[in-house]
Amino acid sequence: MKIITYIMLSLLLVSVFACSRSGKKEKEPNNSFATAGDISLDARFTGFMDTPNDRDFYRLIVDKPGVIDVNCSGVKGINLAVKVWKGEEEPRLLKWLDDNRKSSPERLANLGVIPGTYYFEVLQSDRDTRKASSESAYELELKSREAISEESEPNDSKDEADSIHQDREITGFYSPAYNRLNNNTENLHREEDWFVVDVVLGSDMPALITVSLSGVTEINAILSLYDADDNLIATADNGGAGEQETITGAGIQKSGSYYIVVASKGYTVNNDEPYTLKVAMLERDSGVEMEKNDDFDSANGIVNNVITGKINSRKDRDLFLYTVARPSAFRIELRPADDMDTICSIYSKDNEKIIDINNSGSGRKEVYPNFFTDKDFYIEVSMRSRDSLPTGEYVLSITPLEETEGMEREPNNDTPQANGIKGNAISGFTSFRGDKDYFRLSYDSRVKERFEIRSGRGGEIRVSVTDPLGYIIKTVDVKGDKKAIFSEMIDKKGYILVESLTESYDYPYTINLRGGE
Amino acid sequence: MRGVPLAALCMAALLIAGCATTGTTGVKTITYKKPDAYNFRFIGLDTEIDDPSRDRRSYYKIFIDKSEEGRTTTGLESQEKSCDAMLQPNRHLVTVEKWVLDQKTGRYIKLNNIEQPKPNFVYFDLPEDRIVVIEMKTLGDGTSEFVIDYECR
Repeated sequence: MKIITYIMLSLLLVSVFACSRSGKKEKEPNNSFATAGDISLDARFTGFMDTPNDRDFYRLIVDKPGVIDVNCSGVKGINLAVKVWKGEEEPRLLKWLDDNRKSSPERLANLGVIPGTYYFEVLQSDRDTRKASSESAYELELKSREAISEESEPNDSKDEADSIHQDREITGFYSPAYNRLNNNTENLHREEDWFVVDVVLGSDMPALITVSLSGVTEINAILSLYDADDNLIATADNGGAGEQETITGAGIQKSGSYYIVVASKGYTVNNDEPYTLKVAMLERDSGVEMEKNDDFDSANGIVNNVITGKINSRKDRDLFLYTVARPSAFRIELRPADDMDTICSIYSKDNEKIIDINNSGSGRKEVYPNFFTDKDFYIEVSMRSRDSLPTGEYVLSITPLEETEGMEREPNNDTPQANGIKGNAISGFTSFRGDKDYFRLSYDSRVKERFEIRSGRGGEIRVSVTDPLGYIIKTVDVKGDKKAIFSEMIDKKGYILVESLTESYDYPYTINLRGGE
Repeated sequence: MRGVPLAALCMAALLIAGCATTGTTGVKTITYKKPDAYNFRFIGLDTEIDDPSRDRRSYYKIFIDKSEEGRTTTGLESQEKSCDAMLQPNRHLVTVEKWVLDQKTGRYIKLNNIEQPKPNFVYFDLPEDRIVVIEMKTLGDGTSEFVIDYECR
């Protein structure tokens, strides 16, 4: 009798334990929308993959808007998937959760629902061999909560984008891991959260939009901004896992809808820690760069000779157009942020590169002291791709210089480009590291010329005199304010070659001639 | 070594006769050019170069009485390269230094002493109202000979 009682008690305990783990059980057949079993929120339902091709449908009637955390536990050795459908008569597939892994749960942290009928279909993924499992049950749980300024899945495309308002935060999840409905070949099956912000410009002045995305543990995020015509305006992909991304000062030229896309790289997922997204707008100041200005067509005009900007990604390049009123030499100076090593490039109006200026290190200004031109030109600011992203802004200034007789005109880096000499004095700058300046000497007869040379303060130059063919006959080095004087025969024609040993971008060198007397 | 400049001077004396012209009366008249911008001219060249690949671009640096006076024009070693100067009438020492173009660097470099013309100097007298022309010819073995003349009209 004791034994029977003991067995009875044991069976009762096992029974109670089993009920408490698995909650309500599915009722087969439930392999179609018509035979779907009803389920309710905040309860657990268990089911089995009775056959390899078994599909278990559950129907949920929603009576008020909210958010549902969909969680289907894993079954050992089986790769489960969950499809979420909406609609009673003609259900529409909303989400297809399939993380492509055996034995792992499927989770969608924030399914946005409104009153109506939803179906949850549990099936096996087509990525692995399907098999029956009548012993191990899955557990489907739908936890409900109120939506408080958060994304509402599905928001996987432009048409489904959630609205976001300026200066208000919205939260979202990098969930689920995969979106099987995303068939974009460029980002196949990538889960994307789309948001739309409506911009109304009060005046003709463009605006600057800044989009900030907080960091989430283990998520390496990528943030993108598109216009209504699907043109990519800006991308932020600078931080690593767990780090924030920001699109700073992207230019908005006209009123309309703009789309923000949040995604994780490498199909990483975090169902528990939300991200925060925020959008801020500013009226554009003409002295501040406006992204997107990554190509010649979208280059920002420089209005008052000065503009500030920021490098937003390692691949970011900022282009500016300077309009030349009259032929002149220009001093181009780029003051970077303290943690920035900039490259400043000058392009002609025809988009041909003239020169790269990259003489100084991190936090030090780049200068082209005397760029002469009579045509509009472009300036490109970028950074070395291997460096870390700078935090601060740079300042680019262009200063027209007064015309000075005898001032060199770049480019004069070889004998065909040599500057002619008017008068008996010439001056110039070491415009970049390793700069060479050629000046052409020309006389009616063979003369002995006297050269009086001063290097710019802080600089050191090497001055050579050549024969008529440009071969060097005599060379002297001149440092700082010290003066060097020498004489050399000039066979009617010759060249002065000035080479920089230590650059001085602020003070010019000078060479005085006697004029062949 | 002393004998070489001496021989050159002797040769010069003979060559002075080259300025002489014979008039209708049969009297020889010597007409020398008078100094204007210069009264000294140096001409240097190599005479036995027959391979263009060995004919380097070059010039001579000229020292008068051990002080640098200037340099000749530039040209191939086989070409005449000259330099003019205005000197005080006196006995003078002219010394030359040969420089050749280093094509790799685009720069003229001084030849090693062993490759310099031998001899690389000559003494000469510069009289009033005469222009002294010194021609230095360097042979294939590096030896040089000097011819000293007065410039004629």
